[in-house]
This record gives sequence, structure tokens and C-alpha cells, in this order.
Amino acid sequence: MLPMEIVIRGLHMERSQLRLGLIISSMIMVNSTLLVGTISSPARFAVPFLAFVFAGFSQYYLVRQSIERSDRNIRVFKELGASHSLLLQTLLVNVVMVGLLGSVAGFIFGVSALFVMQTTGFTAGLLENALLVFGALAGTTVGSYIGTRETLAGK
Amino acid sequence: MAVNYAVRLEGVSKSYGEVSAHRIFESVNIGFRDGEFVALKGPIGSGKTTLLNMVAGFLKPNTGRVIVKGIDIVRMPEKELAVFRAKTFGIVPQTQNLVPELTIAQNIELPLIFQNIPKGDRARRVQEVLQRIGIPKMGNRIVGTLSVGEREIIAIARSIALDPPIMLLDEPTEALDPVMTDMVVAFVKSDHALKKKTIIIATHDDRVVKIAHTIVQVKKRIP
Repeated sequence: MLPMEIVIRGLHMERSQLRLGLIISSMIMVNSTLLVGTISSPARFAVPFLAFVFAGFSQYYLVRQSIERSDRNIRVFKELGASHSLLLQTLLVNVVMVGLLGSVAGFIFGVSALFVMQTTGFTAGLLENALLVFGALAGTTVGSYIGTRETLAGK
Repeated sequence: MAVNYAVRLEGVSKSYGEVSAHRIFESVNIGFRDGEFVALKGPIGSGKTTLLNMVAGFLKPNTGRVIVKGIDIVRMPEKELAVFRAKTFGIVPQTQNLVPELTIAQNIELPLIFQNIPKGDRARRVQEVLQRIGIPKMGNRIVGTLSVGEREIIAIARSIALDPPIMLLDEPTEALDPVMTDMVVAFVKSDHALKKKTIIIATHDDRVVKIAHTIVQVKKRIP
């Protein structure tokens, strides 16, 4: 059994981990955006900028959603008498799953959005960005769902 | 003959914020007997939920003792209290605390998992609960797809999964239509009749008040 302070610290750790995930995703996004933007068309800085803004919004939404869902599950589990070790497991699984899926979804859709914008034009790029947001949201939902189920399946 | 109290509050005072800034209770003395069905009736903001939360140990009174099954829970360490709470109370809070991504059966199974009940026993108990609420074949439905009323029934069903001796229900019929309210009332009534549990229910619904043995009027303090 782990003391309550560790669980409370765990909650803070989770938030900071997610913030870290957001920063890493954003860094990947900026670098890939600038790299592709510079290689393919140095003059069109507006396009990578827009891709970054869209990716940033979706990442922000993803992080906010994942924190809310994870906090809710932890609260419910605590109310139902879950042990501290199980609470920690839940936190870790949620963080890892959501973080991984969020980063991967953000990276793939961000880079592909950029390519589409660069090669086929602005309208197609917007469409692709809608997919980006959808992909990131789906990533959050699936991550939270799998995280919760995986934690419970281990019992 | 000595009275067996399931819950007793002795000299309990509770206020929120700065001392006496928002005083809810002052020197309250009240006892709920084993097997008693109590309705806490009162307007919104009168302190019904605060009272239930103090009984469950989620809130500590500023002064006084809360004695549950002979044990003063106010001074109980948090870790011990969590275990005691899970075994003693079936709690249905005002805001539903189901996990919408999980199925009905998985939600009912949660408290059993947390009490380390073996898998086979858990499956049997979940099936029993599903049968009691009349949906033996619907365990695989995802809770997120249910209506508010259906979720309330599942929340109550989950609270009885561990067969706790005391049930605490906070406004279980507040958001329900008359049909769902009747279902909840019938379910609580039958659970009480079958198991002789102590039931403390906060409500302002007269249909619920009618089936209680004891009505406690919780009055709103005027500061």
C-alpha cells in the first residue's frame, strides 16, 4: 500500500507529464513544420505557421480532455475504495496511453497536413487539418478507454 | 432495551470557510438505528448533502463525533477510513460517478475489484445484481449510451454490489421522470425489505419520503 501523499503527488506528476508531452509534441511539430517548409518552399512561411496553430489547438484540447477524464476516473475509483497502488496504476496507464497516442496522432497528422498544404493547395490543407483535429480527439478517446480497460483487465 | 445505532452524530457542528462564516450545523445530536429507513427532507442548501458526507467520512465536522457501527470515524486515519467506508456504505452521490467508457457490468464490478474479491465471485455477484434490477442480459451495454434515469439505477445497483449494511443516497430521483422515480423507489424499498439495511436518503421528493420510517427535517439556517 502506498501513502496518500504519493497519490496526490502522482496527480501533479501526471499533469506535469502531460505538459511535457505537449511541449515535446509542439517541438516536433515546429521542427518538422520548419524543416518541410524550408525545404519545399522557403517563401511560404504562413503555411507552416497555420499548420502549427491547428496542431497546437488540437494538442491543447487533447491534453485538457485527458486530464479531465483521468481526474474523473481517479475520483470515482477513490470514492469506491480503490487502493493507492491501483490509483497509481490507473494514473500511469492513462498518462502513457494518452501521451503516446496524442504525440503520434499530432505528429502524423501535423506533418501530413503540412505536406498536403504544400503540394495540393490551401483548401485541401484545411480539410486535412480538420482530420488532424479529429485524429487527435479520437486518439484521446481511444487512449482513455484503453487505459481504463487495460488497468481493470490487469485485476 | 438498548437501542442499536448504525450511525450517531454527537455534538456535531459544521461550518464552511472562515470560522462561523457559513454555519451549517451547530451541536447536532441524532442517531439512526440499525435497519431504519430515514429520509432527510429539506430545501436545497439546507445541509442534507453535508450531513451525508459527514456520515460517510468524506467531510470532517468542526467539532463533535460521528459514530458508525460503534466506531468514531472522525479520528480514523484516512487510509483506514477508505477501507471502512467501502465495506460499510453503499453510496449513491448526487452527481453520478459511473465511468461512461465502461459497460454496465464493469461499472458494477468496480467496487468488487477494489475489495480484491476473486474473479469468479465477482462475475456471480454482478449477475445477481443485474438480475435484481431486471436487466440480466444488458450487462455489456456501455454506460455512456444510457439515459440519466438508467444511469441512476445502475449507480444504485453498484452501491449494493458489496452488500453494505448502510446505504447513503443523495437525491436519487432528482433528475428522473415519474416512471424512473417509481423504479428507483421500488428498488430501494425492496432492498430494504429484503436485507433490512439502514437507509439514509436525502430528498425533497414526497414519493421517496412516503416510504421512509423516519423523516428528519433539515432546516436552512438563516445567517
